[in-house]
Amino acid sequence: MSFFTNSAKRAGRGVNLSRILSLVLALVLTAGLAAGLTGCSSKEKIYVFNWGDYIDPGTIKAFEKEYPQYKVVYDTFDTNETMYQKLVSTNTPYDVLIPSDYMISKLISENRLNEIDYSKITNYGKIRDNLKVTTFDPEAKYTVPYMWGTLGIIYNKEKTGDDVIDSWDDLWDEKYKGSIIMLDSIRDTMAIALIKEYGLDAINCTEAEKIEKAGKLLEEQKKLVALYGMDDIKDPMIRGNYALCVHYSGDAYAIMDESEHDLGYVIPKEGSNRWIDSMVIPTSSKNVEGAHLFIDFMCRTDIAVKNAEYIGYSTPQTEAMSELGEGYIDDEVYNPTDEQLANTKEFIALDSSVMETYNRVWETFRLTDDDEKNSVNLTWLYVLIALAAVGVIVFFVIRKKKRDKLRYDD
Amino acid sequence: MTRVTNILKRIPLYIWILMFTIIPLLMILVYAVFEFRPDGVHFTLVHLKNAVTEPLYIQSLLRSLKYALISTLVCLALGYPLAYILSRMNDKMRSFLSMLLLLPMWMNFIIRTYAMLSLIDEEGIITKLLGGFMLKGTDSAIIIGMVYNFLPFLVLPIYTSMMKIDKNLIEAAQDLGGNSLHVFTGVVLPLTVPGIVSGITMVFVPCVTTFVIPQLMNNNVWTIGKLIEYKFISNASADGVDPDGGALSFILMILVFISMSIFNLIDKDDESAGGYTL
Repeated sequence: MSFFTNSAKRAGRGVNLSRILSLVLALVLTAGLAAGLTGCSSKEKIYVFNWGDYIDPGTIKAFEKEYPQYKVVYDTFDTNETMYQKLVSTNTPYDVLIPSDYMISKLISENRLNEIDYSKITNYGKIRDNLKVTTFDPEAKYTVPYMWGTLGIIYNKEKTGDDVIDSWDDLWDEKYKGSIIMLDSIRDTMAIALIKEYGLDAINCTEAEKIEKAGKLLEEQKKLVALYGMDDIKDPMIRGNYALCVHYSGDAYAIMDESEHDLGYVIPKEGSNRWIDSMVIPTSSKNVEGAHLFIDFMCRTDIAVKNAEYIGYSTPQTEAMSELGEGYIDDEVYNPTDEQLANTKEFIALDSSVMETYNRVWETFRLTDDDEKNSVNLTWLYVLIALAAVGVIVFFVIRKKKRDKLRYDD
Repeated sequence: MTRVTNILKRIPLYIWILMFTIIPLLMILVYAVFEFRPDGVHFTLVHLKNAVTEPLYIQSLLRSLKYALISTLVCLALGYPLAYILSRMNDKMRSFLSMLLLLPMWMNFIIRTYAMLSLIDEEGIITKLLGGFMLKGTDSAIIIGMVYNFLPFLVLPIYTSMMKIDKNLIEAAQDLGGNSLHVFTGVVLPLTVPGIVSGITMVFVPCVTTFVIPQLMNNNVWTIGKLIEYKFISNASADGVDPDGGALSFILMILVFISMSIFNLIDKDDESAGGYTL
């Protein structure tokens, strides 16, 4: 502080400046306090915890307008794991969570979710039926679907030509060497190898032997793959530089929409993953009534339409789907048929011991060198460099010794 | 009395070092030798053993060292002549060019790396100049990214030590009949060794540990930095952090210390000649 006033005084206006500063500070503080006080009115709060950028903010405002007795306290997470950590470790009484499938199965197995009273969700009937009963909530007791999609292959018809792309095997086709993009995501990518080898039931495989085999398959595939990525692989696909790309349907829809190239999307015939993010009510909830109201509101047709337009993923609400109309409801990427859906399964949470196997296999696969790509053998260069480095060090050490000796001789 | 105030003055520095150097370093050690599991904290040396014996880890470490070594040599080959040329210019030109050298450093390095990436990706200018051969996704891309990002860190110390060379020394060497090669190897090069050494440390160490540049330039291979990042972030299950990550960081830190002390060994005594060391 003394440092500040000194330099300010030197500028010849120290007193004024610090006075103005403290005045401003005081004003800001009072304003903040006042705002805080008005915020703490008698309204009941609903704590909603959702993925970042995963709701149309307008829908929250609409809810508060419709139900003035409630105030929505909205909080976001960026991975299911951070959501879990926060839910378990803080005292915030979250009322509505919107996690993904496998996290929901974990929450259910740990008895962290309340059963939902579906009689209070008046719009539940409009939810697509074959999304209600899922692997993670087999009796449909805890969840109301929020957004969903499938995992599939986007293909560039200009590059695949007359070839029919309908199988995960196409990703192992030598013909597309250097033209394949894979997801850099452990469960999705492992699932592809597992389904390719052992069928759809292996999507939540827990047998170490099969998991190892899947890792081997991915290692074999490595020499064909041009890129592993998540968001960064969208652009190259939009620009039409590659033939095949694994992605989620929501992103595929956006990519195909944006691209000038002739792209297609397919859920491979062996079957695939479908993901569902659902609204659930955790046991931490202190406002179960409000939570039900909020969930029901999000399922209302006009709100669901608004939200789906904002987020861009597929809405499970059938009326909203028809309201979105042409370009959506008739689009098999955005709105797959029942037959296509029958061939998909959700992820469930795996035991940590199984996940360890997955992690080990995945790491091995990602760490293994792809010799063919680094075909230029540089070993001689490294030996040379190492020798040179040692030589330089020796040279300087000897020189220094000599010099020290000279110094003493003087 | 003055001694007390002297100590008091240093307190903020000590607090700073404690909070941002000592404690984080200790945390790395703690993560390396303790397992945090739901049923409590366990001491174990398994993870340290994993870090030095697991072939895949060693492979990724060697891979990182390889990239760092090549990048440093390329930086040296580009940077030393650059510093030399810079120090030989007139004042106006020199300040202008050194500003140009520093200018990109005012930008965030991730943005810089993305900019470089856009030159070598599918539609990049360099890719088109190379007749469609894409550097992105190759080892060379990683080297390019590292050299581009860290070159100024090498040029500046060398440049500083060159500026400090007494012109009379060079003239004396010339008067004594040395040709330009003699002058260079006998006077300029030895006097800039401290600059070279600190420049190399400032490039080599960040090159070994960086994970963003390799990830953006070539996500097909994992460097040690990427592996550690994965262990801590992507791999973090709800049950906690994979402790191998802590052990790997610890080993990497020791390696960095060793290489720094080797560099400093060369550097000792020569400080009078100028340049700044870490």
